Amino acid sequence: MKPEFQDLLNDNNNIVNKICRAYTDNSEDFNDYKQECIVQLWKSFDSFRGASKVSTWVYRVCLNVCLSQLRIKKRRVVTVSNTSIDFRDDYDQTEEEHLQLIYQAIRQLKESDRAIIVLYLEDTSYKEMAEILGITVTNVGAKVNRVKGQLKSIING
Amino acid sequence: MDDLDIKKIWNKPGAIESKGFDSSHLDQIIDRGSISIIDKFIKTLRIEMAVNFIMLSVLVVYSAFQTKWGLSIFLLLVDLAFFIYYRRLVAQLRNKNSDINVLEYLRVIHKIILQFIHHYKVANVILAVPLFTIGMYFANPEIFTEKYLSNGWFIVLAFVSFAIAILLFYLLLFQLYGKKANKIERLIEALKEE
Repeated sequence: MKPEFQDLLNDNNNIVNKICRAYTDNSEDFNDYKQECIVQLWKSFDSFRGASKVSTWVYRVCLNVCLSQLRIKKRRVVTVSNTSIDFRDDYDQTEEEHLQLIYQAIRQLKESDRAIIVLYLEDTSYKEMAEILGITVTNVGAKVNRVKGQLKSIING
Repeated sequence: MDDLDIKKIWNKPGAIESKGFDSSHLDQIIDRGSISIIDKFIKTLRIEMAVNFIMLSVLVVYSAFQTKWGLSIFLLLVDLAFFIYYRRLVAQLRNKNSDINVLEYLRVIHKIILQFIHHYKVANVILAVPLFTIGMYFANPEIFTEKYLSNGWFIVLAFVSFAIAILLFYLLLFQLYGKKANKIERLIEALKEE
């Protein structure tokens, strides 16, 4: 294991977590998706030449994993949650409930729209979103407006 | 809840705290390998390659012992052709990288699934019937030619059985991969439409 990869993963762990959480609704699937993201990031690590930002690369690989994944039947023995994720002692329960509500609403969107909204909430520029998704900036703009509205109407009932 | 509120909540760390990875844990995850659809195909193709190689090699040796040199050379060529075909297929799949944009990646995956379905359709129809027939012949050549091939009912029964088996196999293929291909096709369309 290259230490640079470990550092890179630790720096971008939140991105991996957020994308996987948007595409899964239970901890087993979350672990499976997250581990697959790590494996795919590792596999493409050597070919990543820094032509794009590291975060762009991480978003791209993780979205590719989550969007192309079958519902994985085989459960892995290794769990991500045991060693890398824990619950904070000082978390605000109301904040967490609100966050849960947002994730629940995101999961009600179409799979392709979840990618749009996650990137939008991450403050990714339209240009970068277009680069990650492989669509035009105009298309990104149109989709963001539509999906934002859908998300708000789900959340606000 | 308006836009700003949603973004504000989204950017809070939430209840889940990310502690990062230690290298041994990462090694463990990477050593277990991928469970992506491409890696699943690679594993399946490797098993198929090994089974075909062993079966055809046994047939080559058996026909050589029977001094059926023509058949032996033919099977040897088929054996080699299969070996090269599978090696090429696996090498092609291994070269697929997930570090491309989402739309392009989904197109690649869609194409691979369709290729895989096509591979099985061809393998099922072109290979299963001749291999079964050759197998029956080698099991007992006299009974096969005298008893079975001269019996019209046997041929009809064999034909119907194969037709049902092929149909069931196609249904299984659709359940395993066809649905997935359709789902990815819908995703590609959804991404493209404005």
